[in-house]
Amino acid sequence: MEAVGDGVRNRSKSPRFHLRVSQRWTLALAAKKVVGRKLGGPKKPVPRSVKAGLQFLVSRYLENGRHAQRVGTGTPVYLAAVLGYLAAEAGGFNYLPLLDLANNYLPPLSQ
Amino acid sequence: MAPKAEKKPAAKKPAEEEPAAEKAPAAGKKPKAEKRLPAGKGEKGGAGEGKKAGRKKGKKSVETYKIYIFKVLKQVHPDIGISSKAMSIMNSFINDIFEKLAAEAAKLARYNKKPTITSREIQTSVRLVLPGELAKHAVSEGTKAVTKFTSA
Repeated sequence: MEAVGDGVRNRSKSPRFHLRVSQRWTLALAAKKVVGRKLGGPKKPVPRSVKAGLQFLVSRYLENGRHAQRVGTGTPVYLAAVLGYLAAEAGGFNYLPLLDLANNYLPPLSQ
Repeated sequence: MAPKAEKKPAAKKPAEEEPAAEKAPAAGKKPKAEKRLPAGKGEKGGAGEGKKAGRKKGKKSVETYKIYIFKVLKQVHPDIGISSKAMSIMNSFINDIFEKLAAEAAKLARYNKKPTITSREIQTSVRLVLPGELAKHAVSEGTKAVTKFTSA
């Protein structure tokens, strides 16, 4: 047990509370990495369209239409990509520059 | 041959673009949910920009694909507009393709005695419904999107 003054001894006998302030901060940072940012508050929700780099909405209309009992997680992403491609192609929107523009347009990955 | 609407919209005035943009949050005139109304909820059209909980008069919000079609258009041709009739045609086209792919995926899931529609069913539906080169590019787009989605 480390000897730390200022009345810290009276609060608790757990060895965590006897650490210094800098060590406590380092421990909090380490715990923040381990637990996965729970100490930093809840993660801001990212829409799935942005996460997949699409313009069409990733939605739940397969579930609402009762086409099957269950719908996988990748299914609306795949379907949104196909519908977005068909909108670009069939509207005469000239798909081949879309490949170049899509590479420039995609938001940076926030990991 | 692919079902292409070989109609490139000319450059419209900004006064005409605003009614097309205003119609997207407003009530659309072509709600098309023929098959889904008896089965599911009373939702009309395709995907919308959001289900607004606060309704002033009890008015049912009509959801369309129009803002997303506009986003794709601005991605490819930033200075070209689209008329409201052409936008309605594109919206009907997207709804039609959605129904075809969803029905085919549901059939595939039923044939294999599985209760789940996964991206594999959608991929096979794309290969069955879309002809030739269009299917190949669509499968590539879908795979790319799912890969990016899982890695993010």
